[in-house]
Amino acid sequence: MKNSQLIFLLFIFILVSVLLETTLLNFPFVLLTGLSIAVFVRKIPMFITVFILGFIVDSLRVSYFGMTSLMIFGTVILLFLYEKYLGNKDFLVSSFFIAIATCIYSYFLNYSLFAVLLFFGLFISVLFILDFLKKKGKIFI
Amino acid sequence: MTGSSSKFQRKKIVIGIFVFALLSLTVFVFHNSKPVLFFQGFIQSAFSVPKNVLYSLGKNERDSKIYSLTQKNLKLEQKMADYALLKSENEALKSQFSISTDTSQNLISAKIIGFQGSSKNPTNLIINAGLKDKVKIGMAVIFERYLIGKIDTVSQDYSVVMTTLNPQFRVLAKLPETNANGIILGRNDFMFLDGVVITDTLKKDGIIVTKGEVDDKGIGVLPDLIIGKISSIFKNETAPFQNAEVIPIIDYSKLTNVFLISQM
Repeated sequence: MKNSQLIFLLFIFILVSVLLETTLLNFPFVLLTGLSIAVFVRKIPMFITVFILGFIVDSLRVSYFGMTSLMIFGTVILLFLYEKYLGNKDFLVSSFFIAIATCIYSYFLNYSLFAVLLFFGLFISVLFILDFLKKKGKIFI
Repeated sequence: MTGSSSKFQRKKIVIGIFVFALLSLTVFVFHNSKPVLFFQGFIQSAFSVPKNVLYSLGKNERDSKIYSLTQKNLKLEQKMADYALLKSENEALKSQFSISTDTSQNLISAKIIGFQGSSKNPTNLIINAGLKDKVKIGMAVIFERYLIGKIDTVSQDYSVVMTTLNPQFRVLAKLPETNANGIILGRNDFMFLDGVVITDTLKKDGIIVTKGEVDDKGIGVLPDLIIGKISSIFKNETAPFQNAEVIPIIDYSKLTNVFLISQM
């Protein structure tokens, strides 16, 4: 898939996430997407996108303007400090930081904490199963 | 060379992260400034139509039998509340202690375009009326004769309505049939009528209405707006107060239009 096609798909996905999150579903899609992009794709254009996305969500949910962006970049800074002083880049650690940040955000901004915990529970279970299968040599990723 | 360029890239990214974090903090601190409010209003008006259409999907029950029965039920509940109020007013007039309160109010119409909390029992509703429509914090939000909640947050184009189920919601209430007074507190899935004196009588299925609390600027909750129905009563004869569980008559998740009571 070309880069431009990927960016277009990502744009559509983000637009749909914003509309769904602020209208029909009480789940922090945008924060999760923004955090994942900021943590795993560390590029300046992505940071700009995430920055603007945060403002859009804050406007549509009528929460404190800048709260979402602050949460995203605050988490990235903490993760960066962890990687610099305590350890190397680790997918599981990054996922853990994202999970904690999302739970805190959901709790204070009136999202469905149950849905968030369920999502991360399933996600971590899948990660452990994949890791176990990889160690057993059943899958190669 | 490769090593120094990757170091430079990493440095650039680190600086970028800190700059964006600082920008976010600045915007967060100055969230009430004019440029921020302007940008917020622009985003809200741009998304207003798609949000309105998306939220209304699946909430239109005009053709179904269930809708007509629900409407009839609502009308009957209103008639019951009216009857109870007329009865108590009649008794007050007879005892020559009636007080006539003739308040005129303006209503602001708004559409619901989002919610927060549980999908079945939302604790907050987002409406497409804000500062530009002269919405103020504390205004009562109603649907027909039912109290939906109060305005909690106002922005340029949108506002957040704190529904009666929100744990931070409080309003003075009464049971007109027996004149029992208490405070309604939100409890996520139901409401709690607290602080009712033990000597007052509460009745199961009794319709709870607002007592009225309007400030000196004319903003607040009018009296005799229907809040809900008593589903269970908790009474301990040795305690000074009794309380009751109150359930809303209106399904907030199905609402699409509401009205705000502006200054009186």
